[in-house]
Amino acid sequence: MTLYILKRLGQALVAMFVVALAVFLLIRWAPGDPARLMLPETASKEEVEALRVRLGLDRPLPVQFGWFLKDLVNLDLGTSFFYNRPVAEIIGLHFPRTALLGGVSLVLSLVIGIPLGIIAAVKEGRLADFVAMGFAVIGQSVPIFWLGFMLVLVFSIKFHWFPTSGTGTWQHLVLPATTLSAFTMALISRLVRSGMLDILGEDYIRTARAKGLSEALVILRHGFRNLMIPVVTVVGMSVGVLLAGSVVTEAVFAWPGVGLMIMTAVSARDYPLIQAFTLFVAFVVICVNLIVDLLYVYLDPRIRL
Amino acid sequence: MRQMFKLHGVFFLLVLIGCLLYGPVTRAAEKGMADELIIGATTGLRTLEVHWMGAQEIALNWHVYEPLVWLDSDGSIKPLLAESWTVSNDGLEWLFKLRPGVKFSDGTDFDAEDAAANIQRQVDSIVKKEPTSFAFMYADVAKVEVVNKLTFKVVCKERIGPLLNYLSILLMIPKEAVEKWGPKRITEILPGTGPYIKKSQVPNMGAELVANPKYWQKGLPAVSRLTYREFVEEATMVNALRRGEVDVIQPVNHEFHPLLKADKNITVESFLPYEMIFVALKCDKAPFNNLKARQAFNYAVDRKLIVDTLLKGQGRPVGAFIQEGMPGYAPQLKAPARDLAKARQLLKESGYDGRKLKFIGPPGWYTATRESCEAITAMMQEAGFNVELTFLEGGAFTNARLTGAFDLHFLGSRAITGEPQRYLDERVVTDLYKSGWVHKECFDLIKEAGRTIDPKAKEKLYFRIQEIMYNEVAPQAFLHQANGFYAYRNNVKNFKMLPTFTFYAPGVVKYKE
Repeated sequence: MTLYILKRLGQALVAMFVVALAVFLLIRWAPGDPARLMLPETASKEEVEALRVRLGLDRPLPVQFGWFLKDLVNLDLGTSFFYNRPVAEIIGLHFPRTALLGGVSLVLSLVIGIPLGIIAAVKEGRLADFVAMGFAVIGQSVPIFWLGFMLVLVFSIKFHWFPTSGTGTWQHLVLPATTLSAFTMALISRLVRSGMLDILGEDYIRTARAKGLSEALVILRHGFRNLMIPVVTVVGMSVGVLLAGSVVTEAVFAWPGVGLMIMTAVSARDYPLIQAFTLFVAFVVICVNLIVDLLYVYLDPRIRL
Repeated sequence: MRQMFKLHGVFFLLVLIGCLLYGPVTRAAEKGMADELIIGATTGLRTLEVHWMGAQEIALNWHVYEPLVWLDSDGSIKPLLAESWTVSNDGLEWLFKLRPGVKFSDGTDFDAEDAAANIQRQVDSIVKKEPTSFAFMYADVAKVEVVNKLTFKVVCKERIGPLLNYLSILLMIPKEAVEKWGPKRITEILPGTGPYIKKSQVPNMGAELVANPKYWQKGLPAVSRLTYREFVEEATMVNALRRGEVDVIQPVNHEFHPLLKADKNITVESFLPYEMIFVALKCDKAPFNNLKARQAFNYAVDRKLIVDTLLKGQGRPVGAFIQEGMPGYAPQLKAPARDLAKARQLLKESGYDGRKLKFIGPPGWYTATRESCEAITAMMQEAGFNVELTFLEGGAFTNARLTGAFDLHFLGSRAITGEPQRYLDERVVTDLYKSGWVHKECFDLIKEAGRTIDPKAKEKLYFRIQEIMYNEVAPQAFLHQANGFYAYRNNVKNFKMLPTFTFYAPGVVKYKE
């Protein structure tokens, strides 16, 4: 088991290195000079050059990448060009809000998506199935920004139930979390439905029923437990989806998380912030996937063999 | 009996005290004044640095840090921290007398040492090659001398015509802060002399300001808390206003105008900003190195149609770059009317070889940017130009302009100082955006205007400069001036946007809804 974890950690480090290199090169290939964008438009070429030297942008790319890695090893994410503040401080300021939004969205996806999928499977071909899968198709096909604005129009502007935007109270969280969870919720419910349909045809389910167990017990104890591996896999994958979706959701709801921050950072060519943020997201996704892999061992004893 | 009188007396006194105490409370309650004004905007606050910022950041920050003079909405310069000023006959020495009794919010006096240090910081930032946003305005300052506690002198190497306009956006911070930070970017909240004190500022969220109890203008600010909320999506900001989560939103795109107008709790107002929309032409490369091709462009574009349809009539076509309210406004230089036959003829005479022209457009920085660019492309094609239109992301667009990687580009120019000099320096003489247009007479006139203090003489120069650019259709062809909009809830009074696309809200009153 320890060897397995060490192996996975090794893979994670390689993945992080590849991400770091890719982001480092990609943002430098994009047109737009951060020094030029930072200075007033009237700044002379000499002034732009002086700033490039100060930021270290005049050095060859391998040297800049070396500095970046060295700082990274020392857990120094650098200083934002744009905000002129330590990158770690900026991410620390914004990420908790994105984590909260993403976390609540994930919980909503599971709490609604799983029962919806089970109901659809159990009531296959009946009205409940059509309604549940109708929601799922809408959730997966509707663009996040459209759904967000529709929810605001109905529940904020029309009924005055929730605020339109911002943070501060639990009410502020309801609409953005619902919006962000729509896709994942739909994904989970469809996965649960198809998985449950397969399982319900298995011999051990027939046996459980033959033993006289109640249908609820058959589904929850024998059916749902066997569904856990694909559900956990999807949850792991959803973390990346939710982080990506947070960019749009945060913009629609003026939710001051990392999504908004990264949009600003990209347009300002804030290299340290973009690099650190991308690496941070990669780190979070890799960690979640590692946890998911470890959960497999717990959920399916055959993997331990 | 005497005891009874005593009791009555005490009772009467208590009632009197009660009335005195209760009176103001009741009056305030009757008036129903709210204690927080929330202003929504789509422009982010990037920095705590007061000399390194854009128009919206200045608009918020001059509630905290004040300039020496104030640019009024009619374009005139009014005293603020500087009570009066005089300029020497040769125009090289400016003597400023400061207002007495002004204090920073930390209780220290604002004096000539502070004012001088702020101007000197701009000059030093050029020397140290880390220019602030306003540094170039002070490039001709030789020295700043403190005469006494409330008087200082700015000595110039060359005359600086728009110095007062430039000073209207230079926000004053304490001398100690200038000494501490030098030309490096400030990353802390500093005490200011303004009506508010900045309590916090968070990227992508906004800022919280509270009333400055030591403010020198008695009775201001009217509202004790001012909150600035940032939005990325304009539709979100509009919804927040409709729901009453913000009190004022600015600026607002004209496409939201009908929606907001339909809401009986909201007032929408328009203003004519110092913003000019134009197409810059690459004048050192065919076909626009030929006057006839530039004139062909001028006649190909239907400015009136763009204003009437795409701007829904909320603006006006223009022929020259100085806007109404600024020195040198020349209404006689009218926007050319579309003449397709003439455009085709001129293009033919220019010898244009049909090469595909690269027309680049910014993301939605201005009203109907995308639609206007598409309309211009279609109009040019109709006249015989072969045009390929590309919209670029902000950073890429700026990069393309700065490197001259275009044949024509769409842009707007805002004059936050209320003076056209900066625009002329940047886009014509220095040729920041690589138009490649050279015209010695025009360049000399621009330099002369920059050294002219007398308003009448300056105006004359600006007329002539515009005339040349108008006849030459270079380096830009001017399109239109679009109305700006802002909206507020009806319980807010006295909010006005300034033509510089900024606002000043200490006198704004908000009643409870």
